[in-house]
Amino acid sequence: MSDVEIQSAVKKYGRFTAVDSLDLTVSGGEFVTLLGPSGCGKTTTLRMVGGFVRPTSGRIRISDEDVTDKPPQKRKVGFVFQNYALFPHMDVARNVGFGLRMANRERSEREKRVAEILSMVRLGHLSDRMPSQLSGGQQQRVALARALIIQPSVLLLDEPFGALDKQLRDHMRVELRELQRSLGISTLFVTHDQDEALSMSDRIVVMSEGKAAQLGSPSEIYERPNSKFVAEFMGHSNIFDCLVEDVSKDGASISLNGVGFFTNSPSARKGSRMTAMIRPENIEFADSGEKRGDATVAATVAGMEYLGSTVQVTLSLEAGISLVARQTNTESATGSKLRTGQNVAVRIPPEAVRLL
Amino acid sequence: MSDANQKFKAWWLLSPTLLLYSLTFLLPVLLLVVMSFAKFENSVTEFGFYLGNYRKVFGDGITLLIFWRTVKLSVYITVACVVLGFPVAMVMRRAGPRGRLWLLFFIVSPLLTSIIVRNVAWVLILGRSGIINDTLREWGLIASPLPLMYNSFGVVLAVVHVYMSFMVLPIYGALQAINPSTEEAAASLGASPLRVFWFVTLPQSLPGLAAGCTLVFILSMGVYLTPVIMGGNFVVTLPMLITDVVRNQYNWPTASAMSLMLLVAIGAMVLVSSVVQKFGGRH
Repeated sequence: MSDVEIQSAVKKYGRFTAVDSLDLTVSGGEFVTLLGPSGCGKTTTLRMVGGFVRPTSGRIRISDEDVTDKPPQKRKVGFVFQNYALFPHMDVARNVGFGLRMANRERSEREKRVAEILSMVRLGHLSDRMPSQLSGGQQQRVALARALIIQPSVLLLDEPFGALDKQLRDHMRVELRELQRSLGISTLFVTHDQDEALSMSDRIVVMSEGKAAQLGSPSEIYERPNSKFVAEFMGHSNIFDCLVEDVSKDGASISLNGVGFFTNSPSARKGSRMTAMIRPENIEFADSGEKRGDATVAATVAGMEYLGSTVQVTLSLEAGISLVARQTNTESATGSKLRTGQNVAVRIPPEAVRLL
Repeated sequence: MSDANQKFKAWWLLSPTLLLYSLTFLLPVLLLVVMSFAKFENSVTEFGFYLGNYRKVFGDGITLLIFWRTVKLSVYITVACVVLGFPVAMVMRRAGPRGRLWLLFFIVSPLLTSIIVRNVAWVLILGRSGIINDTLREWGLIASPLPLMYNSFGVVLAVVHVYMSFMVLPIYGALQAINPSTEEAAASLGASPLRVFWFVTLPQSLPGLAAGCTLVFILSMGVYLTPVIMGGNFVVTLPMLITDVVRNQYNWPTASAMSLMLLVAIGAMVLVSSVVQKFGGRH
């Protein structure tokens, strides 16, 4: 039993392929995010599930029923649009009750369920307001209530937080996730914001050029990106081409432009050219008092960026390699006391280096 | 204090327009009101407060009849423009930029043609021995020519042709302002295309529809040359009657009373339309 099944869906616009043979299954109250830069096909995919875009080939199934040829009104999906798309000429209660009215439910039942769902999203007191009189967060909740009242098999969310300011966005994120969990409704969520995807999802599909570049849990996607594209998109900064020089049972030694590193990443093949990713938060600064192990590298501080809770240090290594390190901004942290131009020794532990 | 100053300065910017409007609109209307209470006897106009013109306009049986015919004709024209124009506006909204430009050109083209040329062309098409009647007769489909002009039909058709753009453009503007996602949202909530139109598209386009109806109705109430040519003497409208009273009887006072009748009717229409635009569409 799956709530949504996308089977090798393809969408072509003339010679441009927006979605290229995508497969995805969402079931059992899962929260799945389609993540990617604009133009990667994530919204087209969501709109195919919603019935607004007809796939060029492939099938869409909702609740184990093939809906590929069905119009949106026959699909029973709850769609929340980027700009909420509330009916500006109807008050909150009528907006929310619209789906029941289209289903020809009796007035008394409609009123009861509208009241129920409005109190669930904590808007019971605003039922006779017009959408233009509501704040962004309130409009968002109305849109959500309107989509949920038809008891859809799946909730489809198209960048629903795009129009909110940061604080409200963080708040709505938690609220939406709690509501979704308590209703146990399978959800397909579209966003280009990796923080949003990481914090909310059970699974993430990173999309690139219409294809699923990687599919996995938030920690898999963030910690073990399978390609340079995913690594870069997830906000990793230290990505280099490298040569695997030697492989042993403990790990591998690699060379970036002649600078040697050691990694315990399992995927190394001797003699191959690979992409190495070094996690900024794992780079350590060796204190002068500390004994210098073989894993230290000499570097010059090229720049410091103060980010509040963290400090980002840009390091310049020999052979023109530029490395970004991130340190928690605490009293004791060495990184936060550095000066531009200072020479430092940095230690890059084997587990910080990942081969893609 | 400075706020009040600001306002005062802003008002000054309107003064050239205000002056122009006072001279060309307010003053003539005022004259019209004064004139409508003047007495016209033996070709002599005598100013005063004389109600005879209004008594005549409302009591002679014919003026009121012609007034209602004019209103009815204007309503027909307006309704025809809505029925024909709304779909055009919908197509324009969906069309690509090129298609939209072509449609716009077709809709506006009658306005770019001389009124005489346009009406003569209609006579050539709709007349007793016009293209339509000649063709149908040649094919043996009809024995005698169809009455396509010198009646309300011909007048409505020719007027709709010119004024269509005044209906299509405001509706198109209103449709263009609708967020297409609201229609998609309605569909995903179970509304069939017809119900999407009825519950979501139409209510949101009401301001444009009201504006279009107002424009077309007002213009139709005052249209003169087209009924003269297309209706012959068989479709007499209030503007034709007013012209006749002024030109052939030199009776400015009665003509003024008739004109005010027309003005009040138009004012009422504007009032209704502004109410619709303000509250219309709200469920």
